[in-house]
Amino acid sequence: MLDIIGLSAGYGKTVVCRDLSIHVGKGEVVSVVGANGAGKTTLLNSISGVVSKFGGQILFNENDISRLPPHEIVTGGLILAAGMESLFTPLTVYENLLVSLYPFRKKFNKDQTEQRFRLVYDLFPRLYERREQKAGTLSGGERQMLSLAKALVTDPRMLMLDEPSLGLAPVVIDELFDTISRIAKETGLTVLIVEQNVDRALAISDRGYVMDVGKIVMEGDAQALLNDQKVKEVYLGMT
Amino acid sequence: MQIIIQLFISGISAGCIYGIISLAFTMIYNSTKIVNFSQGSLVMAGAMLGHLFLYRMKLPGLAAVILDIAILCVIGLVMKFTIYDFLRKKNAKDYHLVITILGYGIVIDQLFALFIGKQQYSVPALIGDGSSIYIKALGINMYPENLILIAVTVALIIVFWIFLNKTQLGLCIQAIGFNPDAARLSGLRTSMLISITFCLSCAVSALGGLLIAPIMGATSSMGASLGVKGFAATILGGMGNPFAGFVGGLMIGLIETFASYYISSTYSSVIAYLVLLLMLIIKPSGLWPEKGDR
Repeated sequence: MLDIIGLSAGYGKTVVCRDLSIHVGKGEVVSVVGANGAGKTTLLNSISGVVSKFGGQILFNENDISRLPPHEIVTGGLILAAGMESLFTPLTVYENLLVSLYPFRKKFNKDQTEQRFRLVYDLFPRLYERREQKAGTLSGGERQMLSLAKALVTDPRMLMLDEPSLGLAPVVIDELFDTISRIAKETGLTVLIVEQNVDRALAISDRGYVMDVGKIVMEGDAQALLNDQKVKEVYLGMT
Repeated sequence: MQIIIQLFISGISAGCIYGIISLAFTMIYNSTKIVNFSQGSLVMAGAMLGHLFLYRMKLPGLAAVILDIAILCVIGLVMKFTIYDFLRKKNAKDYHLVITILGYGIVIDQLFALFIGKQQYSVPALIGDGSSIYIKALGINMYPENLILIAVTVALIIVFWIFLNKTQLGLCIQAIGFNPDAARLSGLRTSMLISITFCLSCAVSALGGLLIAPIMGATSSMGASLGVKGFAATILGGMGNPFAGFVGGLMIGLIETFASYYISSTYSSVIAYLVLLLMLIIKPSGLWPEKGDR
């Protein structure tokens, strides 16, 4: 579904990601794990079209999307849930979702729009309870949920998640990853997760990539990477 | 009593002038978080074009309104293009944008002085024959242009408040101001939506100029003081909210009018600014603080 071939990207003249190749098959859950500063967020932002690319190809369903503007990538069905920082905090939960639906106003009629709202409210009952509350008043876990809901409400063909565990308490992380895993299993949604929290991300993934200073250094079956001591010791600085 | 009512109505009508300029500020501010310091010049352009179309060319009212709005939208889009599609793409900082906007204000002022003239010009009102009407119940005289200014301002404030807060497009415009990166990642065409806000702001400026000019005339140098008072109204009421700016405008208008009658007409503006200064010391966020994030 998503094929990244030799992608290099960065800011200004600084190259952050070098010659990356990543493949995500339809219905797969794939993780890219790496320490802070490995270039994971830059990778997602360059796929989304908001960070400039220096070279390489990004194929989404066999179409080259590497030169498309962000809004065309989103309406094409590839969406990024960029986490807590991607909310419109002075707007309510409902208004945040409404803004996410604006680029799809021609795709969904009134009934379908209502159906999309019902679907995300069913997934996240807490957001339904707080739909009239400003996003800025939500807790960390709820903000991550809203970021996820903003992406899911658009009925994407593929979802990208940027550090869903960032800033959350361990028990909230468990709950969130359970939800992500459940959505992927139930709907067959293709998911690309970028995470620092290696264990949690690989536990719900089919395959994984390890990223270090802008490069992919290892790849393979998620379970195998999870059990590989070298991954943690050498690339992630854990013991 | 009659004098108080008369002063009250002049105050409200002056307040509406500042309120309408504040609304023009608010539109651009909401999508960009940038204060358009050439706003006064755009209103001046609206007024001077009113003189050109209605007085010199004797066009029918509706045609003048449409042409005025269209020309201001073109000016607004040129500004938007330089600021957002040219300077921003080159990573210009906010203060670079602000000085560019100030420069635009000066250029617009000078172009109108050059091509239309430097005198004070009269602009016929869009309705009425220029004579005042006597309102018996209140025992006062009123000009129709004051009535139409008040009516149009109130209508615009209500329409834009609803547009910004209750429509999907309005919420998207606010969303871009709150978090431009997230707006792009959500698939919003931010550049196009910002163009829309520039056009809306320019349309409001054009209408403002056309409504103000019959009351205070049109000169190429009127922009600066209008812009500053409109900005003061915006700060007094609170940034980003059309209703707040309107109330701020009414306060400044009323204070100015009453002060000029009871204290001194020379110092009326000074008194209005003193009130603003006091307000900034007591409550810097304005009467209705801008929607915060936490």
